[in-house]
Amino acid sequence: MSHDRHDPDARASSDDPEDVISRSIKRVFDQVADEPIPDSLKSLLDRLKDERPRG
Amino acid sequence: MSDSDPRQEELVGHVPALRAFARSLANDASHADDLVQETVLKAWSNLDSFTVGTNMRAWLFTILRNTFYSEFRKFRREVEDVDGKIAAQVPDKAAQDGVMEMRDFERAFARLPADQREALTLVGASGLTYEEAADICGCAVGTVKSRVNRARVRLTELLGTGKEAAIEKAAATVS
Repeated sequence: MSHDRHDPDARASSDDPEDVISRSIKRVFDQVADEPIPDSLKSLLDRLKDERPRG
Repeated sequence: MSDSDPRQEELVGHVPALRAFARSLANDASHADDLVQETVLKAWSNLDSFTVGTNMRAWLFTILRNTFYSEFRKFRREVEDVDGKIAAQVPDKAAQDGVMEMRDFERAFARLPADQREALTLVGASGLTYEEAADICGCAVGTVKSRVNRARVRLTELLGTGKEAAIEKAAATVS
């Protein structure tokens, strides 16, 4: 699977600034993304980082 | 951490977006974070299979989505939510913060089928192209477009045609 295609013309038309549904979706997405990371997940990330470096 | 692997750092940087994508699929914050934890563990232990220079966000979203749909078979009833029962149980923050319109939107969004929620989130919020979204979903680009269109139509129906201004106002309010 390739994920290296970044053709700007292929961006979804839902990025249209006039599109209120797209704006609402983006708001909801960003709102969750901006929430503090829960302690359980933070602990997991810290534990993984502290593990020995990958060989 | 002694020797920092840049891929690990990049992975950590995508965790907020992973949480948002997981929430759009799971409709439940706790379940969504469980999905993220599982995704992080899988990705961390398989970092060697990630090709540097490609889109790590798309790679992570694919892992998360596969994890979700593995559970989907076990918890189909939770995911389908065709009657909106789960959506109706979502705690209503509106009473606290007065953002009634945004709650309306979130409730309507939660009533969409999972495939439409993910399509709309991938192309409408996470900055991915239709092609990338199709790769993640394992389907044709046209299928993603169709899901997005159906999701938009359904949201418009659920919210009512006169609600566009309210949605727009809510989008400007919640930040």
